[in-house]
Amino acid sequence: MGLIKESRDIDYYFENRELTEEECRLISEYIKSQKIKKTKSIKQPLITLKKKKVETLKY
Amino acid sequence: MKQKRKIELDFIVDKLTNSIENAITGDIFDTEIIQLSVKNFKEIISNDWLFDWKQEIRNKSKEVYKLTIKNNAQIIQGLISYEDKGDHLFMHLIESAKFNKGKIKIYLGIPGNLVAFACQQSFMKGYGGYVSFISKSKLIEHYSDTLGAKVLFANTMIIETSAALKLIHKYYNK
Repeated sequence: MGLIKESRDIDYYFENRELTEEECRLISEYIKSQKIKKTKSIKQPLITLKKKKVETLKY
Repeated sequence: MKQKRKIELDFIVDKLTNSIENAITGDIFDTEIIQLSVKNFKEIISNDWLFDWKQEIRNKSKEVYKLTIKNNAQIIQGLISYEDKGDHLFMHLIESAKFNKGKIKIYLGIPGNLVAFACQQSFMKGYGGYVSFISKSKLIEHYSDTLGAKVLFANTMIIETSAALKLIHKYYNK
């Protein structure tokens, strides 16, 4: 469990404001796209595997 | 003319620890995170905090939690407020207790611990650990380094599944 960054001299901040509707939409779209990407990457090797199996059977 | 008050959050990610660590002795303390409601108003002394946490608690769209050392629930080490956005959690505020800020802070690991908790809650709600927040421009790199957060657009950052798992592992898996 290493020290990532020790910053005692500086105060860190982030903005405390509500997300706009547009920002919410953009975040949702991003999350959706990432989940689709993840699902595709999981499914992809299975498809390849199935194709190979068929080829093997032909021989 | 009405002036819009800009509120900024004190959010120091000093160290990623299993729990929280005494900055002087290095002793590690297990922590507890408990949700606050209006019944807990007495616990929050307004002068001790930079932000209006009572207002955060009153806001029904937000959830507020306190971080304390196990078996010492009276002393609040840090507070977090977040909102359920339906597909992720949006962090509004994180604040360390005043004795955990600056050079003379007593405990290390408060903000990181609270962010890890938000990630854990995101998983529990079925959001895959996704947590977003709006960073100050100069701190984007810091949050990227310490939390593994990514810039989505402008100052809006997001903690994705892999980074969330990493944080949860650091704080909750011993």
